Amino acid sequence: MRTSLNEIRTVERYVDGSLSSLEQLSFERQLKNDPALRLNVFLQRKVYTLLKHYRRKNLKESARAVHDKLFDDPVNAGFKDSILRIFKS
Amino acid sequence: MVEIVEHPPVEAQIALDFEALYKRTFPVVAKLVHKWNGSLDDAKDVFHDGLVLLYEKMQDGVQFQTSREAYLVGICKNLWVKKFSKDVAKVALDEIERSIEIPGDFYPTVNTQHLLTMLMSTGKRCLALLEAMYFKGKSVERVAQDLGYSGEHSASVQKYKCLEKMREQIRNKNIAYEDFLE
Repeated sequence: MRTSLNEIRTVERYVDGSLSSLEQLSFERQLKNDPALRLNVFLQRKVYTLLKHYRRKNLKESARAVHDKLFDDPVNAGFKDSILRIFKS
Repeated sequence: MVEIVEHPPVEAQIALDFEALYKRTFPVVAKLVHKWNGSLDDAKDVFHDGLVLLYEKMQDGVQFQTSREAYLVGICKNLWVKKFSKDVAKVALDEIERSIEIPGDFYPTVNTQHLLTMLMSTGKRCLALLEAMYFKGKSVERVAQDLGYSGEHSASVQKYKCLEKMREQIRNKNIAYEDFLE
């Protein structure tokens, strides 16, 4: 695997806390002396944050699909009516 | 941080679960939201966010002290408080409900939304691959199969290539925005 990909794998293990204590010490030493690596760690954390939001977006999409199914399918008309009645009172 | 979970439900199971939870719990949340002078759309909004959070907490292995349904109602109450903080007094939270935490980053910042929109327009394949690996608990082997990579090694290399590519895209975008120290 390319060196840069190995770095990404190490950053991932650093971020999720799965480096051994020895590896972690050595990585933190590297971090201190290497601003480019610091930026890469920052960016990779950002990637994980974005992935979390992407996942949330997809889950919300599933919730919306279930809602539409319950509100548009005549089979579930009883459910729909009971909800609409709540907001009519 | 993203956690890799061994045996989370697959997407089809999530859809079934959402439907069962919807039928049992949405009427309860709808009544509450109506009582708090909210609309049906408000109820829908808060309930969908609640389902997402319930799932996240299940995947994180959070132990609920009540039924999933009661916990979901608790999440929705907390979300309501977070969204309309002036209504705190109206939303009666019991002790267990008060202990439910809504993650500080639950609602994406504008910057995050921009970045996500960009990644979704240029990197769908990478997003799908990484989502499958990190959140659907799929093994590298399985992902390789599903997404048509020739083997386990190739999918795992692909994972790191995707992370690299996304890092680059964020770097470029953020420098354009001049706010990467956010």
